[in-house]
Amino acid sequence: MNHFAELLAEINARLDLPQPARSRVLLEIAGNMEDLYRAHLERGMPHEEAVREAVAECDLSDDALDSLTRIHCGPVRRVLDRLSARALRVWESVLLLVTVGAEVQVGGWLSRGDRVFRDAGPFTWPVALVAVVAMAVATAQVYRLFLKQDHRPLRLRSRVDLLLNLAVLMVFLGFAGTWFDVWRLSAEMAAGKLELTVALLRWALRSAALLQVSLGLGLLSALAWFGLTGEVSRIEKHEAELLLGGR
Amino acid sequence: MQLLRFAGIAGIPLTVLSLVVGILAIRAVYCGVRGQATDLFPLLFWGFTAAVLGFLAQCAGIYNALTVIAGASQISPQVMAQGFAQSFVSTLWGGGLLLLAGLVWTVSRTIVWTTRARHASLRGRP
Repeated sequence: MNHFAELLAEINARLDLPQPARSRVLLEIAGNMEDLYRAHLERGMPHEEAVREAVAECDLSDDALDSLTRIHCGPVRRVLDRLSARALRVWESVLLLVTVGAEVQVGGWLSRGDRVFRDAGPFTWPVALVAVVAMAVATAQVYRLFLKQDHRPLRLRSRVDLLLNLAVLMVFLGFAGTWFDVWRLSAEMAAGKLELTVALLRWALRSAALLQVSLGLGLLSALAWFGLTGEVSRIEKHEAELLLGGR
Repeated sequence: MQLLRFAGIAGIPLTVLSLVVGILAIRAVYCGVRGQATDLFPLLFWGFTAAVLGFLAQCAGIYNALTVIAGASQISPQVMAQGFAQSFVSTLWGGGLLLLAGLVWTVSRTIVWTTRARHASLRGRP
């Protein structure tokens, strides 16, 4: 059992928060107290005194708990939590894999002829850059959660939500590029450099290519976020149960 | 079968998503009528995924068609219009699933709230 199990159980009773935010707050407090405890032990303090000091140094007043509750229970946070509040069920994991498989297949078709990327125009570069960042973040999280199994409470959620932000950014860049092309081609038409039909065809081709790239990569990033937050929620719940000693 | 063909690359995933959203919607309505709280957010998430996938498939369809058109020496406007209309099938399919998910989400939340309020007022009666 954790050295702070009794205290954490008491805090658990005082917290007026839905799951998984409650588990997250408990893990954050437990992580801070554990760090302080280890620091005291390294300074040569005996076990009991280190526990006492760690508890004394942590601010566990009602005000402090209220501010933690506010941080973890904002409107956006609440929606995101409810969207991925629980561990994925088996059928959802299968569906996730099917959708990712379909996406990868589409990606394969797209990359087989790199014409799509060429036709998508210069806006492909920022989209591709954001996609590379998203892929790096997702790979790092998969490595940390599944292979390294680093389940340290304070680091569990770090950068997972970034995947959703990057997905939105990719879709935004796709639509921004489409509108930018409307403006650019209109200017060229106004200058008499292009005919209407040619301009329309060129715009439709470029927009369809750019939106394919941005929506496809954005959807992949959103699915990765959904899968990873489901896994993080499952770990958080498990860790909180361990901390509370199976209460 | 024709629907699947018109939906292009997203045909099979959209069929699976239709089944999933349909089952989740029935379950949500069933739980709502019984006054039981149920997790409705997966319904919205998969509905949203279907909508994005449908739009993505339309973009892919339009792109493929335009690539062919750009290389063709002659093209019938009627065939082109028909193809363009068909490209909307996947978007409408995905959008329809999102609409269904959103409607069920709203209705079942309202039913649960109404049922709870009725139970609370019954308990409050002397």
